[in-house]
Amino acid sequence: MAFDYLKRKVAEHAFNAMDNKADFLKKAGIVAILTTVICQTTAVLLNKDVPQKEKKFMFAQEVADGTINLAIFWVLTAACIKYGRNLAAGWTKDIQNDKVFEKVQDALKKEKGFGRYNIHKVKNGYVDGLGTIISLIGSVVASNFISPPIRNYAASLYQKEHMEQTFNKQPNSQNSIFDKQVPNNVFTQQKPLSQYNNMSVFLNQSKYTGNNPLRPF
Amino acid sequence: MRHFFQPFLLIQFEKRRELQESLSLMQIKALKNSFENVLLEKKAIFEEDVKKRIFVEKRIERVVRFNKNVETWHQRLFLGVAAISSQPFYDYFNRNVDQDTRKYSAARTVAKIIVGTSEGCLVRFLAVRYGKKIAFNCLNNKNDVVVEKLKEFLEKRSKEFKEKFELGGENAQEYKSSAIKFNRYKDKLNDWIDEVREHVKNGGNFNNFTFESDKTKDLEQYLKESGNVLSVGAAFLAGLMIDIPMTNKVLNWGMDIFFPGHCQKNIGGSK
Repeated sequence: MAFDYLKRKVAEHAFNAMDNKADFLKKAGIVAILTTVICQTTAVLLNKDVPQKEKKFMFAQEVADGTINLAIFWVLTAACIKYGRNLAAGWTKDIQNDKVFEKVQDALKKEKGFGRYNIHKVKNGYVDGLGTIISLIGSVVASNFISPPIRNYAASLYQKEHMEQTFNKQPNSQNSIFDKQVPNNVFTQQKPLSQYNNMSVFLNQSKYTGNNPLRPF
Repeated sequence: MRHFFQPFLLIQFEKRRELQESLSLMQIKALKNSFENVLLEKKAIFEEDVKKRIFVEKRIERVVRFNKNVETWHQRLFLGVAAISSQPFYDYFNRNVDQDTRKYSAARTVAKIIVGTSEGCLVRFLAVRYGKKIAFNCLNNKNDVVVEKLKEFLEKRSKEFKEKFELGGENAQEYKSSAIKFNRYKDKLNDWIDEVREHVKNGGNFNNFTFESDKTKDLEQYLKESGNVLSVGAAFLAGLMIDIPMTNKVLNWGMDIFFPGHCQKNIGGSK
């Protein structure tokens, strides 16, 4: 029974895709983005190597990323489909000259790979096709050129807010969130050189305190 | 009768003679040339029209063919290639965050894209190929309930588009063509089932089925779209099973190679 229902649904969607390919590809793109969001958020939650605080931040970040991506993709792709269809309809409106039709068909038949379609019959196919192509270009532009800067800006705002809440102070632009987890007393206290057992720790001092390691005193 | 027209013919003959006498030989030649030039110009315009139309029809044919042949894995590939050539750069040169975060962010994005695109394309490609066969076999196992419900659906869609067309508006022509299409699919469904059943009864299978007859012309497209629909579902399931573990593994591997000495617990980073 469930299998019959599945078969019917697949067939229904296939017929819808035959009628409007651009719309189907838009839906497929939305499913792909949703899949990515679900997978990435689950990956963050299941990753044992990420600390709890970071997990919270990264989860929110992935959700924000997916939401922004999805919204831009949806809006831009829908607009592109409409634009492409209108463009094709406008272009094909001028081609009503039947005087040259037979001559053109004869010429196309001589060329390899052409002349399969009759322009008067495939006009709707052309309108659909241009809608598909422009929507594909629109989806690429949306998810790769418009969404990343917005996503990054939103994520950086969230990161600053998150860090303020976590560390109760403004983040240092030079040091990362992970550097803050290093105990302060190791590097900020000025100690005599003889007290350091590990030289590598001493050499890393400059990274965290901004002091010159050659002049520790 | 002849006698009746004779005076008129004579007058005409006289007129022509007068005209010929009045025109010099040079003038006649010039007139002839100008007529020829007009004819040549007309011919050139016609040929140019033909050339333009050939160009336009070639473009149309390419677009129609692309629309029919494009599959979901093509779309995933376009998105993946564009993503890997743009997104890591946005992350790596993001000035709103610190240097370490940028590195982790870019590495994580690369890992996500590589895993997502390769897995997505492969799964979709295989799903489309096998989806066609599954849809073909579904047509062979004739289930009257499913077929009847499918016909009801096609009729309902046709009616919906017809109502929309009657309401008018800028998309009225598209609605009209959709209504016609769904009506045609309803009629063709029985033909497809009959053709497939007969083919299988004669010992044939999907691989040696031909889609050239009028009855089965749209069947190829239907099977392709069925494969595309199945591929979307398959990609969703495969994403859940493969993306989650693979992204972290590829990220760890990439971080070890490109940023050696990083702390293990820092994996995942932040953008």
